[in-house]
Amino acid sequence: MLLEVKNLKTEFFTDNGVITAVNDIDFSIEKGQTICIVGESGSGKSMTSLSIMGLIEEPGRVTQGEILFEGTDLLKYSQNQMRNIRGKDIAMIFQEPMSSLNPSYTVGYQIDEVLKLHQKELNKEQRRKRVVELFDEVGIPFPEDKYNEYPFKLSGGQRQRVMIAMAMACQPKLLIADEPTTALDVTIQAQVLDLMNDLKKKNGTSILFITHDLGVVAQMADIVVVMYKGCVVESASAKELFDDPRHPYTKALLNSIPVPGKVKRKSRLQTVDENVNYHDFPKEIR
Amino acid sequence: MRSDEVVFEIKDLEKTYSISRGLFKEPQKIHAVNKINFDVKHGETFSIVGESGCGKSTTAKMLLNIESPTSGKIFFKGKDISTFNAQEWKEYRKKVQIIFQDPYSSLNPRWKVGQIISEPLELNTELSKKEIEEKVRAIMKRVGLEQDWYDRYPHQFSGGQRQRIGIARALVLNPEVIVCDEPVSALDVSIQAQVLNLLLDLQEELDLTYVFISHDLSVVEHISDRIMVMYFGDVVELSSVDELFDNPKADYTKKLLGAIPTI
Amino acid sequence: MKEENKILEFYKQFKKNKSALIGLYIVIVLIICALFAPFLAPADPLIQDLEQRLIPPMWAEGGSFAHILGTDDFGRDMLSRIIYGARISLMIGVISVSISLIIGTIMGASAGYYGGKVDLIVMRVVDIMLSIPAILLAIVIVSILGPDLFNAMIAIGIVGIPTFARIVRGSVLAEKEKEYVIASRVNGSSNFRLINKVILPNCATPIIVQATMGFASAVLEAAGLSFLGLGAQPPTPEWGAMLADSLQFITTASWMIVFPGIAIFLTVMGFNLVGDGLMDVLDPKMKDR
Repeated sequence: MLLEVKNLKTEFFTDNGVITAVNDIDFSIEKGQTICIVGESGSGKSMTSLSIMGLIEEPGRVTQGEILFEGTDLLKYSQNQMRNIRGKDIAMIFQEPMSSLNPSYTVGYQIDEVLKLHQKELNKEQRRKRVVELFDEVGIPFPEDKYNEYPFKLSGGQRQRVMIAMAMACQPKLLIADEPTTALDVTIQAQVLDLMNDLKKKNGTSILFITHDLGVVAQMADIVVVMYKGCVVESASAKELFDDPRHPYTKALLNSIPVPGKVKRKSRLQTVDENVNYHDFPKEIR
Repeated sequence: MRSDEVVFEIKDLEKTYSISRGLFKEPQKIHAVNKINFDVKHGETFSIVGESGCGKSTTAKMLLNIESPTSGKIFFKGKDISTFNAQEWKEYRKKVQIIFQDPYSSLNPRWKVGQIISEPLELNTELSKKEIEEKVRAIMKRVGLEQDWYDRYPHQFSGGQRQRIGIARALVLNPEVIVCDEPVSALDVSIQAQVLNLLLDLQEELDLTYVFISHDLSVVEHISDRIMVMYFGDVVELSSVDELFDNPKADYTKKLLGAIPTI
Repeated sequence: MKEENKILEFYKQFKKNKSALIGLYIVIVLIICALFAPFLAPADPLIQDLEQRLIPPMWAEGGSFAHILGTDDFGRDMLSRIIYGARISLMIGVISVSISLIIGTIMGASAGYYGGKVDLIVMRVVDIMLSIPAILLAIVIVSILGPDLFNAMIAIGIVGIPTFARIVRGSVLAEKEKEYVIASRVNGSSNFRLINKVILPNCATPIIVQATMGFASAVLEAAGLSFLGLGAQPPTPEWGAMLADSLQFITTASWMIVFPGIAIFLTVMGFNLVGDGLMDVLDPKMKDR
């Protein structure tokens, strides 16, 4: 088991009270597996990934639980120890590549920095070669030339590829992707998702993919974890979830999407009822 | 009810932007919309679909005179809107309205909800304050907003609720046509369903014509009668929703349809 | 959340910043002195009593309870002059900042909204004004208008215009392209209404903060002008003028300099702290998401 999350609770201590962003959740990821955490805003899916990476800041804290990465509890690590892991064993990519890439440095330089940090044995030449190699692997055309480009000159899709290159630079065991394609056009999204799947096959990387888009889940996931207001309400293999959704929230979510060919045109879609407390229903963990 | 009456007729509509590149270079021309043609019929939902930079939003803006065309004509019920005087624009505004994409920036943060929805009435009618308030409250009810939200500020509401406020604002003048510029793109999936349901209900009840801009083909397939696909300023395909999904002709359309992640 | 709760909420946030709170208390004391000067001051600030010249403060040797902070070289009660000075300083702040704010906002809003030639002309004027040191510019204006407290206020007001103009221009530019402005324009709003009712209310935060900071610098500049003999004329109890008149007594009657100096210092610091506190509270709160 590569990653095991047990009883994870992350809370925010504000002046207006305590907000429980992640409420006692469990899930695990095996080597080479893709898990999708799916949920809407406020479900706690992003907070879960930040908790794993040790990126929760005041007034928030992880207040309970274990995050076992290859057997070791990450929650017991110091910031220094976490820094060693971030970028090397666990890498993360975000939704807005424009704000996660530093606009003042060339993209080549930024990946070079990651290599300098985690692969100290390489010299300058070797690093440059590796960066170009990475650009090529992620499908950036003319990788040699792109080394010296600034982020603003690249398209959204290309920037996200750079992010993926940066994340894969040290061949991490786990890649956490927080809504990486939400801001992209649908044709570019398709390309980026294919790329991620290819890299996963090649490198044996596990992926923790966070999204609100059930279509993307269908394309990427081995296992699906459905979150609602901080809790996991259903978890199953992708096939099981889509063929036989059990929890009422999952069913409501699936029914609220207009699927061409499956949902009658101009029919009124089922909505997630704001008045129903979906926590009242038993969890469906398969 | 759908009819064959043509509400909008767009002829050779073009929008080009010139970006200056300094003193010595020729300005760069960006062809946002490239001499496109289409018409919109009464009661239908006409969708314009495409990816970023295709020109769909620019087209929507030209229908509302937020941007002026570089060339080409927009006819509303036979009249060329570029010839309108102030009075004719007032009448136009009462018939054609817009719902914006971003519920977080399309409502004035410093105004109360009641004020936001009242504005079109204040600017375009001679109604008294009391009459305006009555109309606003009636629309709020219709759209599912609580009455005591009249005195609250936008930041107190969620994205879905704000979008309803935007819809109320668009409806208050009893328009015939509503241009919907990606109205559900910024919303969660379940909220999106609520807003789409609301739009469908309103269309039936009030006999509205929609010009619906979106990048989401699933949404567009669900609510449209006819769809126009745009790519970098050009119209790549225009057909009924059945035709487009069952029998796409253009390569780009096929590529778009193929890229939708399906369950 | 009702209107009253908003104010309470605001105050709660503001309170957290201890230094801002101290600043607020200072400003409140100032305002009370200014408003209730006739009731608070033990004596008339202008009445001279040459028998009572140069009496040291109460706690020093030779001091008396009748003159808590001593008297000046004309026998006038220091405490009363300081309290009445608050009234004058407040007036300076209010009038100067009003001039800067109103004219600066009109200039900045026009430049930001209309752009093009209007922007070019307005910002060049602003640049020219900013390239002259503030105090120098103030001196020039007062020299033209005549050395008088009221003219000093006008001069300071004019000197403060460029800062407001720049801030308002920046704010208007940022808001101008937002969808809610487009929504109002599409509904038929006139340019005038767009600037005044739609956009400017959303620029309130930086304007308010600058007004508070501007208050502090106005008081300081007025003191400077009076010190140079260009502002308040004797016998007006303006703190800067009091400093100027008392230089010769620095070794013999230091209290004549110390107390006006402290008054200026506290006032300026008080407003600056409040301005800082406002900036912290207003900015994050105004963000919607």
